[in-house]
Amino acid sequence: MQNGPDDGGPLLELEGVGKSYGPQQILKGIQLRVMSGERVAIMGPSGSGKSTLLSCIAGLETPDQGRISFMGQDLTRLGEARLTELRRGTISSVFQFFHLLPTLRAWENVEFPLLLARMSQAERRERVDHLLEEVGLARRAQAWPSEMSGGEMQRLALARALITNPALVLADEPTGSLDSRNGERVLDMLSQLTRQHRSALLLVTHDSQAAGICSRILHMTDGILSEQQAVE
Amino acid sequence: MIPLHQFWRRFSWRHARKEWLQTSLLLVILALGVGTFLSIRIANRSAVEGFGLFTRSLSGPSDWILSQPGNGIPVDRLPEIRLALDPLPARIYPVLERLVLPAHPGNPDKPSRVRLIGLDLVQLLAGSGTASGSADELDIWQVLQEPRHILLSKATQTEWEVAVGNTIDLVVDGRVFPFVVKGTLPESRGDTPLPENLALADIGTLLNRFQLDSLDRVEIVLPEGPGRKTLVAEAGRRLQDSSHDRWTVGSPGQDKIDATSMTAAFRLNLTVLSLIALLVGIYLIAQTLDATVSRRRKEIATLRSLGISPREIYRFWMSEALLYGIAAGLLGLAAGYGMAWFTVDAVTTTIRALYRDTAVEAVRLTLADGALAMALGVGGSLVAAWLPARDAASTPPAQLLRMGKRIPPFALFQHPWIGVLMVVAGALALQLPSWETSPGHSVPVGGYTASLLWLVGGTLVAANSMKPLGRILRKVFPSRASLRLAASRLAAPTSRHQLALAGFLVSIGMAAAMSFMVSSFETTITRWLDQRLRAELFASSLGFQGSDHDQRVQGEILDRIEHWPGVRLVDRFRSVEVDIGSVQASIGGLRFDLIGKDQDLLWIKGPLPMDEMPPEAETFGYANENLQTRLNLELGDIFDVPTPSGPRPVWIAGLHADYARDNGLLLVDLPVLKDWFGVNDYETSAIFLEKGADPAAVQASLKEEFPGLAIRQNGQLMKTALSIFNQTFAVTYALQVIGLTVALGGLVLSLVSLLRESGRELALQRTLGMGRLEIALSTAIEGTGIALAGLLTGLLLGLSLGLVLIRVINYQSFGWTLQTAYPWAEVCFLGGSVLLLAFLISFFTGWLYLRKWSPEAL
Repeated sequence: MQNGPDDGGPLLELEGVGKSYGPQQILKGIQLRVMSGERVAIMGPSGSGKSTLLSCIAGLETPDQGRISFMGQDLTRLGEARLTELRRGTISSVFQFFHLLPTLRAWENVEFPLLLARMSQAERRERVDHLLEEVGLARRAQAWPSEMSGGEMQRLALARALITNPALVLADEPTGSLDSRNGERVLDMLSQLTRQHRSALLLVTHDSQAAGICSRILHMTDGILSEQQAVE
Repeated sequence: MIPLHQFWRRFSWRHARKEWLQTSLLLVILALGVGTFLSIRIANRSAVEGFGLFTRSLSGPSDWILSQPGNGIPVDRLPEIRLALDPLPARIYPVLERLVLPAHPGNPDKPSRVRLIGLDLVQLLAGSGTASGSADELDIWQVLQEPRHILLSKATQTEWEVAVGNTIDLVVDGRVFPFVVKGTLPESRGDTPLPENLALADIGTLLNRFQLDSLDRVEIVLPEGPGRKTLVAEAGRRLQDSSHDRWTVGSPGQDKIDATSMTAAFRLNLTVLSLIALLVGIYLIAQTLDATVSRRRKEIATLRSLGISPREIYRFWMSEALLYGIAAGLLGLAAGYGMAWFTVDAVTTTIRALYRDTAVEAVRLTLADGALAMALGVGGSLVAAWLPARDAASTPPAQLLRMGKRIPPFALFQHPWIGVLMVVAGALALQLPSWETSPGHSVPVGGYTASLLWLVGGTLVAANSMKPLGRILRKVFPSRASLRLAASRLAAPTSRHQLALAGFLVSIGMAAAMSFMVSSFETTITRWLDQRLRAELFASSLGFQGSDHDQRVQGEILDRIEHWPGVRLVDRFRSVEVDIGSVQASIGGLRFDLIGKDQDLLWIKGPLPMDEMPPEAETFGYANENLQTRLNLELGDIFDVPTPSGPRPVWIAGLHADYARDNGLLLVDLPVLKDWFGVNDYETSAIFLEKGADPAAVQASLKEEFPGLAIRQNGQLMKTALSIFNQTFAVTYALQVIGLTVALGGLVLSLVSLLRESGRELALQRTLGMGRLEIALSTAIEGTGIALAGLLTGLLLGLSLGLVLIRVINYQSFGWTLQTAYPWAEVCFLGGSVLLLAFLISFFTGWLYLRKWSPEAL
């Protein structure tokens, strides 16, 4: 998997992106640049448009105005098939409520994106085992999601998101359903693993501690994105 | 706690209005199931009440019926009957009754026959006092002026394309007689409707024209008034005392009871089939209601969050079902009444073909029908709603639902051991003896009980059969995402999966069982016909059908045929109905010298060698299975046959298969029958030709000479015989199609529900990079997996039910031993078609659903 454009340009660039639902404008003239391997946090109150922004970047929604460029491609002009392909391994997501497939065991949940990528069984096995080890769930490989704690489920979701070495990870309130101890552990893993896999991270959160793992924090209010101070 | 009417007003009514298509579909399905059952009930009743309607409608209900097996009551016995009854004020109606049809029918394959009644028209005109009807209507005096005059109903005139004043050639007992249509019968006499298939003529002129000297029966009618009961009893006693075996005294009620009993097995089987159709409909209703639960899941979850308990949710859901049931019951009543106008025709046609003639009594609804429709509608709806209501009640509050907490599957389906117990209980129930409802007629209680237990128990056992299928699929296809996902869902089935499977199991099981039964029937009948139909040609009166015991060909005609160029010999068959104790049976005559040479029977046991015949037996005979079962006969028994000259001991030398009738038949040598009953007219004859004679040429020459006869070649008769049997299974075929359509419809509903419930999972799949094609493919595999599990378990169930139908229910109902013949080719075709359809339907359900689906926020 490619982790960034060859020319050193931004991995992700949003220019004047706007999105409305009926009369209500959710995103207004969004300007954003994310470089390869960069970790960016977006903070803001509920209803400010953060999740909608992530959906547009993931290709699940189409903006009404503006342009979204990812690895040199204009996402707003790509067809559904191409967008689906991007979501298979290049852009992956982590959610507040984990969203694991309930009828698949832990290792199968992690393996699932590799099945979509048509990887060989031997290679899949190796990568899954490795990643489960990395997130500390090797012993829970055979467990069903319903048998796991919140923290375990989120670590599993993290493993699933990183299994394809994505160029960009979109994390929407990844610690929102976890207690502080588990949340901290997940954040540490998110930080460490994205760095290890050289994936860029776009993190949406209410939590300033979560935002602390990122090198840049942006603020979103009423659909408008603004810079906050950069963190060393 | 929300009051019920508030719930109905704010939730039930609004949802029903919003989803009016689904609501209407639900009501229509249940109403159709109720209507089908009701229409068959009405048809059965109508056919049974039609027995004996012919004379009852004209002369009024009779109090006693005199008859004599064999040749009937000689005309010159009438004065003795009058003498026996003097001075009682009894009216005596001699009756001649024949089935007649046009000599040149419009449709030779389906001749339109009517029942010609010969009555003393003068006496009828004099006024029986039991039915009003003006002389002007019947035009009796005009009729009496000319021997060829006949009165027909308006419907018959239309069907035969004749009008008043026209001449028409009618076939009676194989001979052609011209008649002139003199008048039109009214539609009713007083309160009693006249059957449409009725013709009336004067008995004196008919006896003269047909050269007959005996009557089919004599009906005795006593006047209304005080002391009538005593009068009737006195008349009966006098008739009995003076009979001296010259006539038998019977009551019309007994005649109707006999006819009702005769057709009981057929009508009961039809009723059971319609109940099965209702059961399949209930499954579809359950799936529809289950789909409603999934659609309203969020609403239920919100209600739970607001403090409504699971018990209240259950109560609300069942109360909605009650409303649906009431509406469906009323609609079903209307539908049943409407459908009865068609089913009456189908049922009476089959009864006429297989049993005896009956009139079509007008379709009418009774209070009992109304109550039954409501009970079925409400009961069916509540039964169908029970599992979905429990599912609704198990919905967690909204917060838990949002986190993806899975709805637990139906608890009932998690205990397959209950199903195993029911299957075992069903096997034990097969040992139950049949329940004798009337002499010689029994209901296979054990068979029906076993079938029901296996249907329900099989559903519970099979509910978990998707799990191993899912596991196998996962192992066989480890590297395809769509397959892996579908396999994992099959390995962890929800209640929706299990309900869809149950619908498939019942439909496939029912279809397979009926195919098995029909195939076995067809194989057995073909084998039997091959054995029995050996002659090159067969003769009977034109329009003769299997149930016609009073449509016969004169012996003189057959004598002439026996000397016809190209004809080697003629075997003749005649039967006489007798009462053996309280069982109605037939004594038949066949040339025994031909058995084992030109003719043969399909032996079940025997025949025993003649030198073993005990000296106390007068002669020997061969009993059919039905007679053996009803009278508990065994090979080698001696059995007393009632004849006009007293009982005659007959040695049972063999037991044979007979699929032409479901009442008992004892065959004796033809000369013996002729001697006992003095008969010389025959129902059917087998014509054997000289070597080298051309069957077609002989057939043509015989038809020309005897236009009142139906002369058929062997192949033609075989085809006609098989078509009659196919006709009896027409309802079965229709139910198979309905069952399979319902199963596939149920699959669609279940898949839509599953997709609807999987909104977040679909959004996740899309986020993970699954395209629309892959998701649709996953849905297709899931649906096909359900169908496959249902098909395999359904075929197993069908095989078991089929064996019960053939070996137990059929045998105990009709006394027939059938050869089992499993329709492998048909089953493979059925299975393949079902799977292919399931795949296509599931795929397009997924594909189309995704087109309209909006992803939920994750």
